[in-house]
Amino acid sequence: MNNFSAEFIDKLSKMIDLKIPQEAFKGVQHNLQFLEDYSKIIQECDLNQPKTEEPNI
Amino acid sequence: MSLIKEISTNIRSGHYSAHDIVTHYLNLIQKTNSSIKSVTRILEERALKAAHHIDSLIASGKDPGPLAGVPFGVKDLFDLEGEITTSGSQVFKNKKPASKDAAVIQRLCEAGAIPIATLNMDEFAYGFITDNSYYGITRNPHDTSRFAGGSSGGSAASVAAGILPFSLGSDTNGSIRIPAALCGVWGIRPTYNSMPMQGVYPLSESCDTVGPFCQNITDLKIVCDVMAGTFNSSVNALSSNLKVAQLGGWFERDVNPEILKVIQDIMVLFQSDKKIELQYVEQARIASYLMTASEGGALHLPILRKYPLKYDPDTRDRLIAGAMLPTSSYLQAKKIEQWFKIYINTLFKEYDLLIAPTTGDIAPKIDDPVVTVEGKSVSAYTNIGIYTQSLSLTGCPILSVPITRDGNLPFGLQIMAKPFQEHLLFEVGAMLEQKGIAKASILQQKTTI
Repeated sequence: MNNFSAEFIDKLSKMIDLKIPQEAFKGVQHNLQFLEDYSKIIQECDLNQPKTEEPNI
Repeated sequence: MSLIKEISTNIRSGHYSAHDIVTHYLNLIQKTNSSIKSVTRILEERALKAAHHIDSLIASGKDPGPLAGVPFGVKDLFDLEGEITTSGSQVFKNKKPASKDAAVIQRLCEAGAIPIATLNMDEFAYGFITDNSYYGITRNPHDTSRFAGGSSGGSAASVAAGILPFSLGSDTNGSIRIPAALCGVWGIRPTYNSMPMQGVYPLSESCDTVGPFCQNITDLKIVCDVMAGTFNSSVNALSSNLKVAQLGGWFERDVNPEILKVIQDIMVLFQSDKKIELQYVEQARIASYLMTASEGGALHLPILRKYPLKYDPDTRDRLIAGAMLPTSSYLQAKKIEQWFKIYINTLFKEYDLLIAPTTGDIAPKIDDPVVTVEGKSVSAYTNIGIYTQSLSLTGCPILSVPITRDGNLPFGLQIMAKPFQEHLLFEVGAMLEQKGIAKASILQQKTTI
């Protein structure tokens, strides 16, 4: 499922003063979803706590 | 044996002229390029003029430099005086020509080397394959039904095809290491910020580096040293008691057992059985990806506003999305970068070298561009860099070691040292080459001078 509607992408593009060509819309939508999925993974990453107590050497 | 020393010695001694050598390689390019599409432009006029200059210096008893008359090619994102730096894109086809050579090219030319060609790349270096919508796909010289890798595919393929003694590329997330591995040549991603980047069109300034491709480790060191401004042609003997660890976990998943076997053989040489599973590798890979997307997007935004339709659609859409990435995501990626650098630095207090595969297998087929991740076939275009991207964040120098197997396609290994320890990588590379474990796969060209 893609979370980025045409309307939302249009608002984002206005924020960066970029008019997205019609033919780019689907590709941009696909890539934004990709970036969102990746961003969620790293936002959940708690770097203060290592995965194991001791370094795995 | 050093091809660079052989060529420069023959020219200095008068056995061949620089004109002979340059003409020879220009002819090789003309004969071979249509089958591999590694070269985008031939710099015949400049090359022959430079060759004449080298020959004149020698005739008048002057020293032309340690790379006297050695031809080389450059990825199409290095400035060359009087030439348009296209960065592999039609967006720049009417750009003003460069007013001077990129800094590393100046150094190589001052040492006597002669640039003779520009080389194919993914548009704006934003890829791992070298599938360029204008210049075409650069094919693997060892099997032209397969990719050469990217984004410095033209650079790696030209050296592997034997049509250039050395070439220059760039590595943001694997763009030297991957084509070096798939084409079976030596390459190095140097320590971040160790090479002057003036005159190199960027992609992601947090990760961009430049480095050479060569046929042997001695040449790699020679070219690297000249580029870095620290020329010393000798390779020291390898120190004893080096502490070496293999990267396991992520770096073993979906890797061809033959590649893992070679890593094991090298570990036996170093009398080590240490294996490390790096923490947060997936997050480091993602951080590298997001930083590239955001920095690349921001860099291209002014041009995207004016000429969005001149871009390759796939590159364009990725750059636009990257320009929209929220700052909070970018800053979290930078936090991971900082954490990962400190973490790797801690490991290098215990170890001298870390070893990993460069790719999971040999070069993918052009008509079936897939690699295996978690047991599934996924696009090679976006996934072939899974073993290189995270390591790019470290800023460490990484040698791409070519492994040649009779009757089979080559592959490559990554050997990483702590920052500014390139000399250690050259020593290890020389040892592996001398023992016959590491060897470049270079096509023998039928024509001779």
